[in-house]
Amino acid sequence: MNANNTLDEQLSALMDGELDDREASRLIGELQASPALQQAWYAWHLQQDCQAGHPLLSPDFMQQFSARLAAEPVVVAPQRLRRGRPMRKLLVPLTAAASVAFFGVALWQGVYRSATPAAQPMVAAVGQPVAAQAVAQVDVEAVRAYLSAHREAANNPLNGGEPLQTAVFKPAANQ
Amino acid sequence: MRKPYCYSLFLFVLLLAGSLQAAESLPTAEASRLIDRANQAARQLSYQGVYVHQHGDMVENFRIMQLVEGGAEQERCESLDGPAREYVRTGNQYHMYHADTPLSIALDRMAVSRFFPRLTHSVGDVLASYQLRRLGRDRVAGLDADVYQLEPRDGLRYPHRLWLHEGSGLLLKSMMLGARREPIETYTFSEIRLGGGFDRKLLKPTTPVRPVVMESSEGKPLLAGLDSQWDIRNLPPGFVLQKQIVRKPKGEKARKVQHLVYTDGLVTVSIFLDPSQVQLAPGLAQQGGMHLFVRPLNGQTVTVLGEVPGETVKAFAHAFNPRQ
Repeated sequence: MNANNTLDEQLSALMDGELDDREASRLIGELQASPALQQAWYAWHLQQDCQAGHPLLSPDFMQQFSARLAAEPVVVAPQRLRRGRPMRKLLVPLTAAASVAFFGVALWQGVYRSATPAAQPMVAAVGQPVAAQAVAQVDVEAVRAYLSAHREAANNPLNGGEPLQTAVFKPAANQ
Repeated sequence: MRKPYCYSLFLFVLLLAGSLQAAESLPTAEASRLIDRANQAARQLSYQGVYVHQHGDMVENFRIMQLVEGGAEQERCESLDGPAREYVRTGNQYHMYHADTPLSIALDRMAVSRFFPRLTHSVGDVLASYQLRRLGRDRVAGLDADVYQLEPRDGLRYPHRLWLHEGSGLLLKSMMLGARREPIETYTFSEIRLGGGFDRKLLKPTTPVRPVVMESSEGKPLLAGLDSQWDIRNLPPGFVLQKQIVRKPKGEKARKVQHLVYTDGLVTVSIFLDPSQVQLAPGLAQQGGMHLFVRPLNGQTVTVLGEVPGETVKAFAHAFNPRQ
């Protein structure tokens, strides 16, 4: 009981940022290992949010959020880099890879795929299992023909990205 | 001590949001006059400069110059990075060079009238689908500019932001914004000098340019009896047919893919009517602001592609149905 009280006090201190670094990292280690402690951590926050009048999230919010986040399609265009961010060095190789991908017209992502597209909802309704929404990888070579035909017919031909070429529309392999 | 800072920041954001919200759309007559002025300026001014085209994470620079003397227009534009690409224009005649394609290119009149810093061929069409509102003032390439936004009247297209030179009305910068108001495509002068005081030699092509065929399908009826093969109804409003091309893939003489290009004055949508099944997954796909919709129909396929929201390509795909 006594030990629990001490732990509770320590958790409270951690929340308020009153522990020193060594103490804090030890306690965080314990938190990660103990589901009971995680429950207590959640209860403390719930109490504090009630007192502060913050809106409450459902207990499995994080779980649902993580599932939905994992199911989100990858965004092709990276966010603009802000100056002075420590992540910048790390991000540069990623964006370089993305530019190469762009020139290859790679990563066309299907928002959804279905034999009867009209029957599919655009956005999964809240509460639906998001993972059920299949993310299709579209055939890069096949899209390229359409993209270059579109560019040639409609846009400034000086714009690069995709060299102009005679469009080759591939029929389906099973035809 | 942090709280007053937070409050003032909050208040500032609130005011900013309020001022943006308060920017009301201009009456059609004034909007029409402003767009007209931008188009006139792009045709009648002499200038030279460098502009940047940013699309997704791709950035390209172009040098452009125009000389208008005694009603005669001369223009030259060249890419500064990547493979050499260049066009020179004398009046309505274009000559072009592409280092990376051996093809002789045909240009479309309506497409040409949208080459930066030109805006659109027809003011009325644009204002049927968008309304113009003033956002404020800014500086582009060292010049003072008024900032406007073409706000779509429906959810079928994206907003466009325009920076017009205060003195002449010339379009100095334009930006297409996505569904979350993120920039999708930007054209902007990084350097510009107004007036014809530049070396005439700059108007001479630096590459072996060749004449370009000018085409226009504007107002023409659909070719090749398309009406008898396809039932076309409920096209998204505001789009008109700009061009129709019959594409015959190599080695497949019997297969003719009909390529229709529709425009609302600012953006274009391509529709491919294919008599066979294609190698693409059915449904919606996207890359940045560009959406693709593939709709298989009993061995035939309708494929739609354009710089418009997913809803629009989907609506186009469902507007084309084969007649029995």
